[in-house]
Amino acid sequence: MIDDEPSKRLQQLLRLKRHETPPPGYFNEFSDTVLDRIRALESERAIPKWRRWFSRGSHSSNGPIPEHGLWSVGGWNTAIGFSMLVAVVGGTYWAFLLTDSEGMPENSAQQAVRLGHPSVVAPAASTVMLVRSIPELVEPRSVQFHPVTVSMSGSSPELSSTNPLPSGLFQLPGASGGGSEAYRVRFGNSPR
Amino acid sequence: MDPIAESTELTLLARPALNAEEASEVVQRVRRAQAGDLAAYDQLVHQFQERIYGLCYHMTSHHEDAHDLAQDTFVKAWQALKNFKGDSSFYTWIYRIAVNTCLNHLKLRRNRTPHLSLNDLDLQPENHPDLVALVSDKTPRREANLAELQRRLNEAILKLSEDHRSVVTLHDIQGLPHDQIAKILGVNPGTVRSRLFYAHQQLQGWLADWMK
Repeated sequence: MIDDEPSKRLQQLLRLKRHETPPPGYFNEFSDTVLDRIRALESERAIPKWRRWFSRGSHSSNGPIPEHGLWSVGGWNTAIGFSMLVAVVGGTYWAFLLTDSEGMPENSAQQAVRLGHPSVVAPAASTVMLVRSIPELVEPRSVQFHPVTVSMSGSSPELSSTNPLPSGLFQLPGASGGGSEAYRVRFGNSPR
Repeated sequence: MDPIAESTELTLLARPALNAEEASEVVQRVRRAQAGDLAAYDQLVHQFQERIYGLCYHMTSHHEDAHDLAQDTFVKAWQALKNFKGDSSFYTWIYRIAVNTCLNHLKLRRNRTPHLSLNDLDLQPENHPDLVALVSDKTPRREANLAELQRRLNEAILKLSEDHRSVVTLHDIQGLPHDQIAKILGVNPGTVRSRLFYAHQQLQGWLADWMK
């Protein structure tokens, strides 16, 4: 099959490839290089996995950071990236918590208590909670405080404000919401 | 180079296998290397470096790639040495690693234009009857120089598929017998013969000028 004349000629031609040899002395340092690579691998294998992971980028970097240093360029990049991720996630979560608690009517009630209107605002706030829709409660929104005046007219206290009250915040019977007129509110056990 | 020394070198390059004494030495060195003896492995590297380099060089026709691939082969072999059970000879085993390393490399570079980086032909035509015959007056392209012949030869080999190139390299260039090639490549000897046949047919077509 391969002993015919063209095949012999071809094999003769291919045998010329045996004469393509590297220059003399080419293999002098060959085995030393192999052993150096093996020693490097062995010493790398002795390093814990997590340290190897951090120093992984150093093999491709030729910068001033030592090749087997704990914190290589790749390690720093990874650490900085991870820190930034933690900061972003943590910050978002914290901001959500703050926004959520500020948006809740209870919080406005508590702040109103601090402003000195505990008996007026606290019961009203609990009433207000009932008339607001669920999406409004879930959705964080800003809260505005308006100065109000409480005066006693006979046996009934009256709540008045010089600023227009935001529509929908208070929905009292008979009140149209918004406007500058005084509002009448009912205390716990006071008669209508 | 001294013709006698050159002849010895060529014999080494084309030697198909190890003799009994060498084989025994290799077994001892492999056992010591498996126990972690780097000096023993150094001896093994010295023993096989030219053949492994030659295999990688003829598979890639690229001098620098061949150097890197031969080194990779020995490093991989060290890493896998503990798993070497001795079912085949070390010679066959490390050749298999080298062939696989070369094939992986060639797959990665399949889409790139082949680039030759050849070693110089280390010979004097008058001392080599093969070459005298090829560039004699009867050769149609006698004006062509050796460099062109070398380039054409390597380009033709690079055109072969990786499977065909492997068998041509191992058999025609490195002088291994069919059954040993079959063990290295993990195929049966019939497949080796078949691949050689088709590879030769293709090469004869591509090198027609030099076949007359």
